[in-house]
Amino acid sequence: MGRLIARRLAFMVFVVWGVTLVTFFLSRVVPGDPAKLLAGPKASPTEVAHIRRIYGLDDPLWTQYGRYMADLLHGNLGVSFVTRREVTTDVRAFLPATLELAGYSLLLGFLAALVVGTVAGYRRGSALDAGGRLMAIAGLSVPAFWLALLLQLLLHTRLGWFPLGGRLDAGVAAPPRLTGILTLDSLLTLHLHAFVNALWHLALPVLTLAAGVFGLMTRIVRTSILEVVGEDYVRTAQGKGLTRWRVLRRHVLRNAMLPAVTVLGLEFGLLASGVFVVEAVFQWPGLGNYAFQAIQASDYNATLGATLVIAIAYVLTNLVVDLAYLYLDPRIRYT
Amino acid sequence: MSGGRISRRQFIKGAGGTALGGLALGSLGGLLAACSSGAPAGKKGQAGQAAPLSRDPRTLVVAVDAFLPDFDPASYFLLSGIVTNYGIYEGLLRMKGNSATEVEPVLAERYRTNADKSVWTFSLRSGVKYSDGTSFDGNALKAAYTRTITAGLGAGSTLSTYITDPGTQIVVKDPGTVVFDLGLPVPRFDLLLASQYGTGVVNPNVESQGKNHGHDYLTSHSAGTGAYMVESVSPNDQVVLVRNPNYWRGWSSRQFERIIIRQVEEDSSRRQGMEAGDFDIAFPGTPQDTAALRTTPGIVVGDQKVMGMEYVVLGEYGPLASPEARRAMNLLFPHDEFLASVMEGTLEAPNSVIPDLILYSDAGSYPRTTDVDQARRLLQQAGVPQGTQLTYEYYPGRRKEPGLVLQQQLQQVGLSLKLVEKAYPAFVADMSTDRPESERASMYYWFWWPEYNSPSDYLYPILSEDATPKAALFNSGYYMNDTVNKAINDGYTVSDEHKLTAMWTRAQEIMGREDPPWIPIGQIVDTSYLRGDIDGYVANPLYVLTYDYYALSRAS
Repeated sequence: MGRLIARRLAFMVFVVWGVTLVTFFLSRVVPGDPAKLLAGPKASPTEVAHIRRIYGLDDPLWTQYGRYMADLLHGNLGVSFVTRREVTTDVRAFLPATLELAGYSLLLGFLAALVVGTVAGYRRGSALDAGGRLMAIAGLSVPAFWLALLLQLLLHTRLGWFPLGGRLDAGVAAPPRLTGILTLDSLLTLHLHAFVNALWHLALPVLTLAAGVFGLMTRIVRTSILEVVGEDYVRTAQGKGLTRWRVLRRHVLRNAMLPAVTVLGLEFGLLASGVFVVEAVFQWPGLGNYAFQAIQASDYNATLGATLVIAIAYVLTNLVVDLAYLYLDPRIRYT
Repeated sequence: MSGGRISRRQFIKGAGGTALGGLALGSLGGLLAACSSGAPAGKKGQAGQAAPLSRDPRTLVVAVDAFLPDFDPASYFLLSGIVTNYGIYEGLLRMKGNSATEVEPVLAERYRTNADKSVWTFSLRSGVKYSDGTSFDGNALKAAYTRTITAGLGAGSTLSTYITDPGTQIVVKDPGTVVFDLGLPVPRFDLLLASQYGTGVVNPNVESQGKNHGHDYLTSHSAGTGAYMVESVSPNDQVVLVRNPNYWRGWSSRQFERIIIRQVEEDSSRRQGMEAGDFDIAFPGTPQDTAALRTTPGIVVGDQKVMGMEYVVLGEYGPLASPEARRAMNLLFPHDEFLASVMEGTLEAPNSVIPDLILYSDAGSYPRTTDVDQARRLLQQAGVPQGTQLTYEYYPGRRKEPGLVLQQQLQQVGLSLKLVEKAYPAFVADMSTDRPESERASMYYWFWWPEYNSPSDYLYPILSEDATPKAALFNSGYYMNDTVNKAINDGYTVSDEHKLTAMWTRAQEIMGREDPPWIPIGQIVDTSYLRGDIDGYVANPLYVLTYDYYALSRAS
């Protein structure tokens, strides 16, 4: 396992380099002048040139890239034109919000899919199976943007059950920052009011993102369950008189999880794209919204920084998935 | 079923299926009913009253589409910077109430000017302190304005219109008296000083606070004399302002203790937030949102015409090179129908090519007429062949509609219009980068408002011959008219009232009837959304979408 982890981490270095190269030059090829956008349309050409000089945008591209890579090796991702802060500061500020949102969405979507997919697989052909498949298709088909607005309209504006957006109510003090994940920080520091309020604010964006996770995972789980239920060893276990629950837990689920775990890793990538939209609609101050603002403003450093973080997270997630295989299926060994 | 009897398992399956189905149908019905109801059910107040307030009434919550974490008066130059800073920084003067031409003193108590209005002397208000307790005086004012003009951070153009050498042109006679020697007559220098752009007075101590003349420090701190100061900044999320305890006007219990400015990008979210009582003030959304909120109990929608105009830039090249072709484009646009049906009262009809409230605006100089036959004749005269394709460029969320309307109208005269949507950075690059004619759009959507009430200030960056994309500015149609250009330049230096009036009347006549640079779509109306219990709001036509937080209070 140690060798697997070391190999993957080494691979990650190449991924990071490739991402910086492609993103750096692509962002500069796209039309736009961040200095002009920063200065505003009424700034004089002299002022725009001055701003360009401050941010080093008047140097040749390869010089800029070399400087960026040298800074990157020292952990410096540059300064954001939009937030006017170091990108590392921004990532530290915004990443936990996205991790919190994505984490709860994956968890909720996966757990719901596990239940519904298992029931649908076990009750193949029944009304429960049909209902589960219908819900899965709905979760996959409904665009996140539309669902987000609909949930806001229904559950906030019409019914007043949930807040419009943001992470906490205006009058609720944030807990002391330990991780930046509000629910975790408030639990660890025993700020229960903030914990409840943070959960309440998470409800709608998590529901929105979890719907897409649920849709895909339900179908995967159902298919896996159907395959495994038909295996000889399951029939043997049933024939031996084991209870249905014991058969499910000890023989079916564990073997059916392999494909689901594989997709879970891929789901993270899909979630990253959904997060952009959901964070914008729910005013969630996360990395997705940050990256979206950066792209709109031709904020090169912020765009690169956010892309790097997402790429690294993707590689790490898939590493975790591969390690999970070792637990789920002892036959699997990586050479 | 066996032997005519239903097994227990079958009964449970059937009942379960029926229950699930009933639940699904009931939920769907509830969803449809809730979505179609005309008003928010959960937090509806009494008729005419705002939704109940479920937060601290001494906190004002303002929802804007974006804000910049930039609290440096030498730098912020976008609306996203003004909206947070108007409560933090003050200048010597400001516009009075909702007047477009009268000013009132702020950091200056009074002022006078010499006979030819080239020297302006200001007596400064005593007892004014910055938020950190240090005193404001003439030396601080000179240092602040010198910094703004010379630091080159983006907002120096307003003051540097007439002050190019602050070291000699700004004279501190004594700590309470400052003289501006402009070197030439400037009859309305007071209007310039009332601008929101570049005239805020920052504590000069910021120079020692960090890089770029302390600019880096001012991305997360404020240093003004205004009523409020920055407590916390969370970029892309919110800014929290709290009372400046040293504010020279003092405080009463009526004023807000905190101002939370929240970034809410989605128009629909801002509307929903207003309906549900989450926000006290919000930037306007779509015309449809505005129309809906006008009839929502407990919400007030602003109705102040401002010194801003939306228009379609007409390129003076390619098929629209001739004045006849551009006059034809103006004759094709159905202003009144467009404003009534599409804009739903969020734009007011243009009466000139410049907004009504700009000095020397000549209402009636723009003949708002739709005449397809005359347009056809003009196009023939201009030699624009049938089948010619024009292009209309715009950016997401802003005004595809004029393009759609023009597309339909142009078909009637045998031309076609291709609509091109570009991301905002690319759009701005297209408008302000010199390119060969073949790579330019025929038309661009754009909007503009001035830094201060002056037709020269309004028109220079968008119509001057020195402001084409060759100079990376926004005369994107490459408009070249000697008389108009002379008016723009002379408008900065001519002081004779009769000459100015004649000059601008003639310029508007040319731009409105003879050689149009654009199609003026409509004058911008500030339709800010406010809770009905917010008192003290007075919109000023120069201070677009800007709120004087100190003047606001919540009705008890």
